[in-house]
Amino acid sequence: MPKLLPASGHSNLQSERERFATGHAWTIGRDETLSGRQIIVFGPMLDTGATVAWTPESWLQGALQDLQALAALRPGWDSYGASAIDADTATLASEVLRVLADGNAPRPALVPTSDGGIQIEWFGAGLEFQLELEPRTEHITLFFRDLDTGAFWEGPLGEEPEPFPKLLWRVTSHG
Amino acid sequence: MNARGPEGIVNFRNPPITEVVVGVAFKDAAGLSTAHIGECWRAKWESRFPRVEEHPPYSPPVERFDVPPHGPTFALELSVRPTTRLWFVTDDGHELIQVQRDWFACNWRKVSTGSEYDRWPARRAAFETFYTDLERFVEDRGLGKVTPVQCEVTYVNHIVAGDGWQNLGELPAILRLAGAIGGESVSAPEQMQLGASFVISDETDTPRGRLHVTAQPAALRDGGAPLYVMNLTARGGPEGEGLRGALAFLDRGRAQIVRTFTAITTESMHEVWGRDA
Repeated sequence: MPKLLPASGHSNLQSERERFATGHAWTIGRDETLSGRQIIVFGPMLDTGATVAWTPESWLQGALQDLQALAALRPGWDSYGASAIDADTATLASEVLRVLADGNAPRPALVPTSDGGIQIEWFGAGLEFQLELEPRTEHITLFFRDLDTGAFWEGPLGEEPEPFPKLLWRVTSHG
Repeated sequence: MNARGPEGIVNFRNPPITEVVVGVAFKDAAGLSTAHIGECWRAKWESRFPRVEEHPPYSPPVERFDVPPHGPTFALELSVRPTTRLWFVTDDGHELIQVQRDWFACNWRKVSTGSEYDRWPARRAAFETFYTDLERFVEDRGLGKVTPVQCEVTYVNHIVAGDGWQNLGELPAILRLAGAIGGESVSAPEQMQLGASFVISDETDTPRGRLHVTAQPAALRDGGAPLYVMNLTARGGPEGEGLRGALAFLDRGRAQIVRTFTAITTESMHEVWGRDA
């Protein structure tokens, strides 16, 4: 299964957990310095990783509950022989949701696919945006469509014509 | 903090600088593996940086200006290859080169209280030398090329209690950004932490990056003395192609750090740090 990396933006995965962070000020962390070993830093924000929007008020908890419900679907859940949701795909989806929640993305809808995958979707004012997580593949497919003009783009995540957050902002700012 | 140069910025004779980190995130070196990084170390850096350590990868944030501050700020990347960040450290622990498949940095730290910061030109020159080593290695071995995408310069300051302040509730004695509380209705804070971000713009007011400032309460492992860790990280895209473009932003970011440090710290601490008139 491919591993999700927080390529940029404000995630608290991996060494980001150790980053010095207060609000949205992001300086380099102890992990990246020699002098970090000389000190003990106080404050729960640094040691719990709770530097981002993983609060009970955020949408993440609800979305993870939705994901859990999808992961419990039995084979044939659509009455047409659909596969159960692939466990690795569900795990990857949970990581994607965490990064999205960290990065101020609006709450997406989660849709199971008949081959055991999961779509993460946003709709707003004639625009459609999807991340498709397919089982046993090493990429996420990104799909974007303007329902008014019919213009669309589809391809592997990372090859999109504009930065992902900018595309998503365009969708959600119309909503 | 301690700028001597044409920028006309304030110089401190005894600044609280503990460490300086100069780094760049890069792309297009798809063939660069951890084994290759080790090979580069063996060929170019081993004699000066004999100590090797392995660390989890660093994921430098990208400063964005194409979405509003409250808009989405994430990015997703899938990787099927595990990434390791290698540290190459000098015997005296003064200097460090950090390399992973998509990030490179040079650190300098003050080891003893008596040692003095060797100033920005030396840090800049070290970065230029070792970055060029990596760049040439990648190209000579046909591993792709090193194309900078994000540049970072960080000043880590350890401001230890003693001169000018005594306990961790006294951050306003160090930072003007942290205001003192008036009145007697509440007790003084036990400790404080602070974060602020500033946009770094060029001469045409075009945003080039951000300067992030954090102040965190801490204690020295050796002796337990209280201190504030004040980090200033200037981060932004290169201002042109290759190494020259990276250095252009790094120079701008470092100048912004020095000016901002002077502006947000108190005059009483400037005296402690030996501000030149």
